[in-house]
Amino acid sequence: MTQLRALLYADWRALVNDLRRAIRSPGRIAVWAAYVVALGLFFVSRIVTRSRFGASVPQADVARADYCICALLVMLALSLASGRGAIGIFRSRAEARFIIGSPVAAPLAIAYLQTREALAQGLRLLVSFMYFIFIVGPRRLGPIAAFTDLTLVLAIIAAASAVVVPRRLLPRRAAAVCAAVGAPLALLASAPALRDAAAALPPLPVARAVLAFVPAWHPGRVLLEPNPLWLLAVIALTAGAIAILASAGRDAYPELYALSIDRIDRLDQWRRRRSGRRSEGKVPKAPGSRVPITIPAPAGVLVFVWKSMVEFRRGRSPQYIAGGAALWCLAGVAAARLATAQDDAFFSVLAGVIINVILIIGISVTSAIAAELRRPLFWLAPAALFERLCALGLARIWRTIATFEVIAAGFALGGGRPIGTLFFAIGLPALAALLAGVGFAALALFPSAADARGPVTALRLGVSIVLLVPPFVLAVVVGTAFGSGPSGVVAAVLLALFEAGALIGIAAWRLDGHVDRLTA
Amino acid sequence: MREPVLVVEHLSKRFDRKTALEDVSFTLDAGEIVGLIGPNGAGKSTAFGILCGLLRPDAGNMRYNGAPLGRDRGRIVSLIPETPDVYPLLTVWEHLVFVARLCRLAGGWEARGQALLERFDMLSARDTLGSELSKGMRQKTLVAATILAQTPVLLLDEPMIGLDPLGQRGLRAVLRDLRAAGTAIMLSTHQLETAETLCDRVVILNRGRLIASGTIEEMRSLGSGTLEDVFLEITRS
Repeated sequence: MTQLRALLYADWRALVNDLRRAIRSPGRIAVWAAYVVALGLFFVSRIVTRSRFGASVPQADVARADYCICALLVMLALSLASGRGAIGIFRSRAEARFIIGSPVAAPLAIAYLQTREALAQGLRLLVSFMYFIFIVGPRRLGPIAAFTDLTLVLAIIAAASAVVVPRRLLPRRAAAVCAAVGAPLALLASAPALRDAAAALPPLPVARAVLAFVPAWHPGRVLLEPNPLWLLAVIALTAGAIAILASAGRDAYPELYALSIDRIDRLDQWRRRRSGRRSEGKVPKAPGSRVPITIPAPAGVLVFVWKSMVEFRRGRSPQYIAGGAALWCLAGVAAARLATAQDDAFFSVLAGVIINVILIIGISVTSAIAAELRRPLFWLAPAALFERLCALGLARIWRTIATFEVIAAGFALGGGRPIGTLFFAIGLPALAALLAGVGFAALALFPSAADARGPVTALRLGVSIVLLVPPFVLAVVVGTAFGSGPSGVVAAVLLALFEAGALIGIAAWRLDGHVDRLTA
Repeated sequence: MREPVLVVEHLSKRFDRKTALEDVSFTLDAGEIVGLIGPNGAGKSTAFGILCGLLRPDAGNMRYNGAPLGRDRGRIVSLIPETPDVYPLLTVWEHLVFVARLCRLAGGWEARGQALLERFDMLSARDTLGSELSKGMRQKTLVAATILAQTPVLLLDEPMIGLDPLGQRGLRAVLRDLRAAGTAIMLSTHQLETAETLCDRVVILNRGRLIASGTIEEMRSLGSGTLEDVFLEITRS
């Protein structure tokens, strides 16, 4: 027990020191308090609104749950087969050297470390994504059931990322066997959802005929009718994997050390890329090096956009880019077909797309700002920080804009609402700019990485949705008043750009001369 | 009497409860190299961060040619940091293009950039990606890109770290040439021999305070030996 106490002591002290640092900042306390209040309000709203939804589950919800559970099970199967979880077992080189060289019994140390990682990962995910219950969780579930639902999803993710098995304990060719068995299983599991989708698409009679043989079984019922027993099963599976790992004992240290260092290096590279620093570890060999990219560079801060384009082009052939664009265009065509067949499914997908755009743009701009602002090259030239941030935002969002413009083109080609699509295509850059502005302002106000996952992402999402309302309202009001849709769109674009400018202004005001805030 | 190009007066900066700089004043003249030296945590990087606009001082003022150092400081001051953060997916030459276009440099910068790469023995690595460069090469890339911007004030934070002896000699020669061309240079270093051979003056910080400044000869006269002996004597007292 003394040995276990020593291990616990180090983690306990780290937690206490982290909390002490956090409570010294009133802003951080405020944002966490707001997060808890918002979750509480959502919780209550679920109790109130639950009764409005009947017992029947919309088809879109069933399909979404089917796909979700299939993806999670495939992820878990792959993790079990490869034995290379994303987390554990040692958190750092120093911890590895300390524990390997210590007299702590190896099975105890390994069991403790991996249990700690699995728990930490599960809790981190739960805190970070709790608000997802209210965004994507089935509307007919009460708060407790929705919470169980989310916990089950996150437990599977945590289990998949925490399962580490020494290679020699794995059956031979486990990965190949898993792929051979897992892929058809995943296809089979998703077949009901495919069948329902195919039934709604008139142009695919052959697929519909084939899928008609699929039994009416929906794996997504696990999520739609959540049962704590499923959660226990996942926990038992994780505990079993940890027990197998611990039983390997001291003999497994070299393998586990190599696995951990590989993971730590990858994590380090990712963090350094985010913060703009370069890893001291392995030098990544990017494809396409020594190939000059001939894109003319503009003068002034717009050179940030040029840099982004050069980086994008590097390692991507024109054929690759054209292929990607074609795929996105086809996705647009498919969405148009779905929209004409199923209105409710279409709007469900559209809502998901908008939320994803908000998250993707927010995340991509925040990673950019932190990385760039620490580079002295960023500060060369006599430009105001506001101008630099505007250029940096454009550099980060042009790819997202281009992708969605291609999808919109596909949507129009597929016969889906041409006028609405045109308005969307015109408004998209302003919408993206607004979302980038929210991302900049959120990071400037709450730069801590610990806050960024949970409350700040929720805040960003909430603020984005709130700020999207005035342009939409203005578009409707102006469009109705002048009897002209384009006038409404132009007014909305101008208002969204104004909002984006104001938000970037807040970020510039907050960060000008305060780059140290980004290291918090 | 003409005022030095860069005047820093009563600079103070605190991070929460920790004082990083307290009432620090110094000057920097055109065509001189000043060494900023001090033990770890003395406030050297904070001073550089404030000078190049990364940090805002709590008190004090900075003037360039008599005018307050304001929002256009990116045209005046450039910093070469201790950690050579290059863009991993840009080649060495593209770093120079980036700086040239960002600073709207006039025509002819290509020849200067080429000459700088030649000077740092980097011509063969011209089309190599930042991610494929060694630490020393990254440092040289940043130095070349920053020098290309031709700011009248150049700050270097531990510039010799990571450079091989040939690279160090090359950088010293470049800095001497820049000094001869009238650039005001300030470099922080823990290598006191470098400061002794390269700098015209040194400013010594300890725990955020300026504790000594003067020419190398003046500093030597404070103690009984080399600059290193003097430095150890005054920072320990």
